[in-house]
Amino acid sequence: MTDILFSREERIPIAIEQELRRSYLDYAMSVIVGRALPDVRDGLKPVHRRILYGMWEQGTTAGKPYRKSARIVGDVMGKYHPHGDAAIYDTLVRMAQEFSMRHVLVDGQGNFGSIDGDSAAAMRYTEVRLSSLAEELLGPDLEKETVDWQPNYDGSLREPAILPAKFPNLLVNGSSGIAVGMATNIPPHNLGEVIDAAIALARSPGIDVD
Amino acid sequence: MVKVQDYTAENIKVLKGPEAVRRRPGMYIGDTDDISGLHHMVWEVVDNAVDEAQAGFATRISVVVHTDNSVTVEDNGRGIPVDIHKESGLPAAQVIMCELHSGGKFDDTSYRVSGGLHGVGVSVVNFLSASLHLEIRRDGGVWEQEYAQGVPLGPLRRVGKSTKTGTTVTFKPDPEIFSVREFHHDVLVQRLRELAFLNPGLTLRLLDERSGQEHEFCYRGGIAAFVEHLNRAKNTLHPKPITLEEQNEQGEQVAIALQWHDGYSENVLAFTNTVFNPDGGAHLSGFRAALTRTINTYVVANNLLKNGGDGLAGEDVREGLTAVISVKIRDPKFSSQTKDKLVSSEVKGWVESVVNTRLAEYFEENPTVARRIVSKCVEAARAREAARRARELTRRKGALESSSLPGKLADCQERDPAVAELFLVEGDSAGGSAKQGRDRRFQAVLPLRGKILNVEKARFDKLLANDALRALIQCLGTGIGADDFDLAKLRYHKIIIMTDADVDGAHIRTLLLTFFFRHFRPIIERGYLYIAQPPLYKVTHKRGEQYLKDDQELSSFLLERLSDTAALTLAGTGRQLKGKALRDAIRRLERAMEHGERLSQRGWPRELVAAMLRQGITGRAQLAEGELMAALASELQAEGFEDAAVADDEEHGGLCIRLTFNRNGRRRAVELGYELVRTYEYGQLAELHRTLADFDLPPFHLELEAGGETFDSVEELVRRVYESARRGLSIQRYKGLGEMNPEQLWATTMNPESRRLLQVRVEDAAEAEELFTVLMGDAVVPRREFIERNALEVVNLDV
Repeated sequence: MTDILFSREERIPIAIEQELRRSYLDYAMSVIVGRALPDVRDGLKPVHRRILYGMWEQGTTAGKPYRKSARIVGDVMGKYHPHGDAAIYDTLVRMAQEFSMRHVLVDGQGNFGSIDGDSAAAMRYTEVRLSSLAEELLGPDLEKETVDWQPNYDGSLREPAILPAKFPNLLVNGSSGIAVGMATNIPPHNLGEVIDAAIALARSPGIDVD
Repeated sequence: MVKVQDYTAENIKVLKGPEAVRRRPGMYIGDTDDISGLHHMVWEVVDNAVDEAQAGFATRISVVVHTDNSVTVEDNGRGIPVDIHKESGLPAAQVIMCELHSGGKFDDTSYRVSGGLHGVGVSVVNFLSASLHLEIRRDGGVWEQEYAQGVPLGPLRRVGKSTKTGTTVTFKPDPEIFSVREFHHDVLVQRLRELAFLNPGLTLRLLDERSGQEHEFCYRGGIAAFVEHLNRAKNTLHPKPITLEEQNEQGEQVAIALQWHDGYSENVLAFTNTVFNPDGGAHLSGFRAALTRTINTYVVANNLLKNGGDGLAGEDVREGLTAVISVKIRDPKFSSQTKDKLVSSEVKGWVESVVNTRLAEYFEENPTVARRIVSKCVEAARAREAARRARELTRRKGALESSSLPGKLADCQERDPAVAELFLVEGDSAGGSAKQGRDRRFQAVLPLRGKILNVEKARFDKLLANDALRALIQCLGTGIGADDFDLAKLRYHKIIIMTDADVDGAHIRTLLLTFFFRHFRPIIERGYLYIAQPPLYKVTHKRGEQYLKDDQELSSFLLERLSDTAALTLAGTGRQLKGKALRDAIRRLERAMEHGERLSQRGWPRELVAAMLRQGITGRAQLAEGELMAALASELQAEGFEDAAVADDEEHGGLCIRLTFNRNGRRRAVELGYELVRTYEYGQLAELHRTLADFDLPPFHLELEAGGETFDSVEELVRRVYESARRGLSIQRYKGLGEMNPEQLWATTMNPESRRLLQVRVEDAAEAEELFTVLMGDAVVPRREFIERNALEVVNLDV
């Protein structure tokens, strides 16, 4: 077996401390910044943002007919979110569940599960479209260069880095997520009250809770 | 018959001084092919400074790692004597630097206890350095001397005046001796922190000019604070470490601090005269023996061992123990110059008696703490017994199914472990590619589904119950656990972790590393664990596609491509650069910018440095030329630095220019002189500037196939040149191994002829131990702190 006793192989020593540190930091920071925690500006994690943008891009909006979930998931997965289909579909389902969201962002047709813990039907059965409230997150502003855009994972397309949300979605729908070394839990709030509060704050900055 | 040469007196050589040390450096400094010897160079010099501090003269020691991996150690002690040494007729400083077995440690009057003792330390460092610069401040003056490979380049001479005292040594380890020349930041930090704990009140500072990181350590709490520091990520059984201390009239001292936590690992560090002894020795064995005895005595006296077992073993009482033992004695004896092990036998008895009496006293006075510790030890004994039984059980079970390998494994044909390789692949998608792409004669593939169990958080029995890990253990063939593990049975001598280049891949890599570090440490120590390096980029262009391993390869590819087609015209001189000349010029500009950036971070703004280079100041000699310096000052004034003025440099002779400038809204003073010209970066810049003088005058015009572009500054040119090169290319970052065809995976990552592997090693076991606890363990707070502290180090942020 001498032909496989290799001479030209490049072998670089690396300290386990260093490798652990680097890999772990890459993982931890990516999860913190890019996966588990929402952006304060639109209250969305990247997977939510990509689903909403994907649906909006396809024209699956409130006034249009429902579209099969599988098509949405496939489209988002292929274009923007290079991860498993189950993770994307579960997120989509949650956004359509009235008992999970203060205000749903996705309008679903079919079995989307119940508060008892029944799971939703498979994605080949269910159909979805954006809710009218979700359109306020995307809105006509998205086309008007109001937000930053970034290349998608393989640099072939562009996606919004943030949505031009017209209402403080982070407060309205709340959020929860477990990252590495830190986690978030934000309760939902009443839409009308949050907007009233935002207007009051905009009129007189420095106003306090009383 | 081979002819035997005569063996006569002529063959007997007596090596003297430098030659002896340079021929056999290992005996004096440790292994020169690994980081230990290199770092020992720093410790020899630092230990001398620490001795000066222990004697009560130095309060501050600063270690600076320069960009070219030379090191400066500075203390504010008395300064090495510079007067003439009677026996040799040379200045004492030169004797200390150039003669083995010379120094102040043989004479009890100048140092009572000291880490240095053989008197060889700093002279060895001198002999093993390509260059060494010595600067001494004492008696109102500044003295300097330069050496190369231990040979003085000139006499020790007085160069200036100073009111300070102290010694500054700058040395650059000799590449002829050291194959490893890169200092490790973490190793330096850890040791300096240790020294700060062991020398309460002493300030130690580390500045790493390569990264700009700076640390300063000063602790008043001594070794108790040290133990608290080591345990900061643990849940301790008692809030304050127990300290046991004893001193005798000669100023010798034994000090021990110990604290138990609810974990399972033992961490006992032993020091002699503040020098760490990695292999322990008399003090450590004395401590261990006495600890076991004292706790057993207490257990028996208080009847705490319920079922009347055989008493506690040493490993039971040390489970979850963190302790620091520091002895300060005269004339310590070590097994070698590197002080790995203390062999002074009288220390053992002393340490034993201190632990016996003082710890027993402590237990009597603090019964609640004592009971808590003892119950932990008893638990440990019970767990040891239970684990033994569990292992026996699995061994018996294992015997039944040992012939079958897990179904997932695609084994290789080769049976000889020395040539067989095992690829641990993330997920079935990549597993398929690897299985089809491999050379089945000697490469085996085991796909791991999803994330494996974090063994740092799971107990041993849970580990054995986990399917993925059990499959992996069966593949390895060695068995697991202290009694069963047999390295000789390992079926592959190359275990290669091959995960995707995305974040989840990074996570799985950390999980696997934890698994191997915690349960298969010998595999790592023997160098059998590797990490595969799949290519990072795929570049598609008109003529085809190409894989590039890393960012460096990407940038040279881009540069190559650019220089084939583009031409750069320099407006200042009208010169045109093409092909290789263009490539070289851009590389040099990049290097010059890096150096400039480093100097700028250290407080010498780019434009000031550039002005000096334009004036032709290349080294120390020019600083003495009055006209040149005056011309520079007036040029700087013309550029808007109105207060630039020539001044005398008292400490180093010659001239300098002092001025102030604005940065971040604050006025800062800066001195252009000796300190700047001495830096490695300035030397490099002066060198680069000779060939890059054309680039002093912008603009530059770049002519490409697709059109031209004009740049107004060097910075802009370097930044934008790559953007121009990217045009017409599609550069894709590779994430998943499953994205590649089997042949591509073979060619880029698996083929021994062309692949690149990272060989995993443990460099600093204590640091690794702590890192695994913090990152993979239960406690969240230290993990968050670690992430917050190091967030900016992240290389690949993947969203």
